[in-house]
Amino acid sequence: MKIIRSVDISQLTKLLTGEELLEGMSDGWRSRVRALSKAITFLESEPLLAMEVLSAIPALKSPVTSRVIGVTGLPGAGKSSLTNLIVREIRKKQKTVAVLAVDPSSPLSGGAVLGDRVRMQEHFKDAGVFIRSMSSRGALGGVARTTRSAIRLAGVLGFDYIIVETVGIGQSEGEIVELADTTLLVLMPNSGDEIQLMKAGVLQLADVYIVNKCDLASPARMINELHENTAPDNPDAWTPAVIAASSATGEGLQDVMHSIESHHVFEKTHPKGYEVRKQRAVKEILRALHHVVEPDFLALISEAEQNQLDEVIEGTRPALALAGELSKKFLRSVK
Amino acid sequence: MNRYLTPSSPEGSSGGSPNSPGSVEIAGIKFAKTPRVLIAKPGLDGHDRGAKYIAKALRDSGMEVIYTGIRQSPDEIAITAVQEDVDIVGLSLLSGAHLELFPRVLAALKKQGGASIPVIGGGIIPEDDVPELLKAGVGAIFTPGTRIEDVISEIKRLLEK
Ligand code: B12
Ligand SMILES: Nc1nc2c(ncn2[C@@H]2O[C@H](COP(=O)(O)OP(=O)(O)OP(=O)(O)O)[C@@H](O)[C@H]2O)c(=O)[nH]1
Ligand SMILES: [Mg+2]
Repeated sequence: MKIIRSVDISQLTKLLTGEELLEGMSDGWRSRVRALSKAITFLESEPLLAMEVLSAIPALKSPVTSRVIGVTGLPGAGKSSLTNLIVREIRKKQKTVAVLAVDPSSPLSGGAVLGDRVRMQEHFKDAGVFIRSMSSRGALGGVARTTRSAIRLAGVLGFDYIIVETVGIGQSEGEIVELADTTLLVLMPNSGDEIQLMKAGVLQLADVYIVNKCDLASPARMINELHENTAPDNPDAWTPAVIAASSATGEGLQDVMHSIESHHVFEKTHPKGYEVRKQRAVKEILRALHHVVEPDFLALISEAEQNQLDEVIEGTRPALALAGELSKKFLRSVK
Repeated sequence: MNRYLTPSSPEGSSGGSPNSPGSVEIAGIKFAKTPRVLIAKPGLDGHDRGAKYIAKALRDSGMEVIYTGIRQSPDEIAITAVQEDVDIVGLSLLSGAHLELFPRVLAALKKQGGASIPVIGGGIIPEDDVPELLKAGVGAIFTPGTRIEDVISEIKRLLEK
């Protein structure tokens, strides 16, 4: 398996489940981890094949037992440093964990320096920890297009936890809440202005709010502001935890671990929890639909009459109107 | 459903040309996919300017670069290379321990299932040591004054070998 251009799905499945070992490897777990890393690369390079691969893996038909934790927040707020500490706590309980760390791609070159891993050096040699850096590859939601599929693949190896660190977020990138069971939002004591901007975005969507770096400045004001902005109107809903923490001193870490656990219990037992998971599934399906039909619609758009496109460019025909026509055309063509 | 089984151009791969699916062009050279590169600093050497310089230059050329940080053991580097599924490993060393550490990284890669990943090196490396390193299996050596174009074309050569 050098750079895979075509993939044998049944072999890939066997490698992921450990039924078969990679050539020259005797350690079953190492071989599975290698297969996982190869599989992620494959889906990154061939995103449209993700659907084929994922639906062909029988192991994916059993319920996912991995807990997915999203770690999002402002650039440089300490997402990777906190992830490192959370991984340490998870390992203390003998549980396994996969970390998918997304960093932004350069809008100019498309390249990226993926640096989150540097903060997790203490776990490099731990066989119970898998760390994979992903470039956002131009995607704007804070995660990569392939992140969802990577979560599914990591689930096949049965990791107890899967942590997804997003790119540093600004106002709107909230895709992580569609992927994670529990989303942590990491802020800093002096991020008051950013909070203003985020009010309508991910700020209302996270499950646990962490004011990190409280060894540097008092988090009191931020904590108050967060309590004010995140308390749910509905008394039945999950009340987000707001925690002052420091990845430098370890302050607040136990509270973070505790909140992750209570949120898990809430989602599993509270009727509202089911509601949230259902909404998440709907959003995921919608996003997947977009990916699935995109190539067909790109083809339809390129077939559209030049004058139709010109009308949209000049504003004499609403894009929405042309979209409606193309959609009807698409539905007729699949009948 | 078979129509989805034709490889397609990944979203956001700049320079991807429509007639060769998935490929990217970097500094005028065509690669089958966006190359992923691990830049690693083995041993106790703390000189990290060169490693960071190379990491940024490769990013600016359009590659995906993972940087380990300083003070990594050969095993840590090999495990990272395998988990990140990089196409090539670049070692940076200015301390003088290259004759010992570079071969140990190659051995660790073999142990971790990454024997097929090519390794290149750079830093303060006397000309006299280069043949021994190449013989040990290092793909290429770069010393101060390296042009990034040369690194890119060497990566291309090693990936096609
Ligand atoms: C700056 C510097 C320092 C800084 C480092 C700052 C930092 N964070 O990097 C400081 C002051 C901290 C320092 C400390 C020491 N230094 Co000093 N340092 C230098 C100096 C002057 C320049 C190095 C540099 O940054 N160059 C700029 C970068 C961009 O160049 P580069 O790293 O060579 O990288 C280029 C190429 O080599 C290549 N490349 C490098 N890596 C890679 C990797 C890949 C994959 C590729 C493709 C290419 C590539 O591409 C780059 C671009 O062209 C050199 C002398 C010299 N002329 O090189 C001594 C030198 C490296 N240091 C030396 C020594 C001895 C030390 C100390 C041990 C001194 C002491 N006794 O305390 C300490 C050790 C520190 C440690 N923890 O390891 C010696 C090493 C001797 C040896 N190898 O036999 C040198 C050579 C000086 C000398 N002539 O004696 N040093
Ligand atoms: N004093 C202090 N510094 C911290 C703390 N947490 C992180 N840092 C430092 O803040 C910087 C950024 O930390 P990271 O963990 O890389 O932050 P991040 O949110 O992952 O950054 P990006 O992924 O680049 O957005 C590093 O220099 C850390 O050492 C903290 O609690 N206290
Ligand atoms: Mg980070």
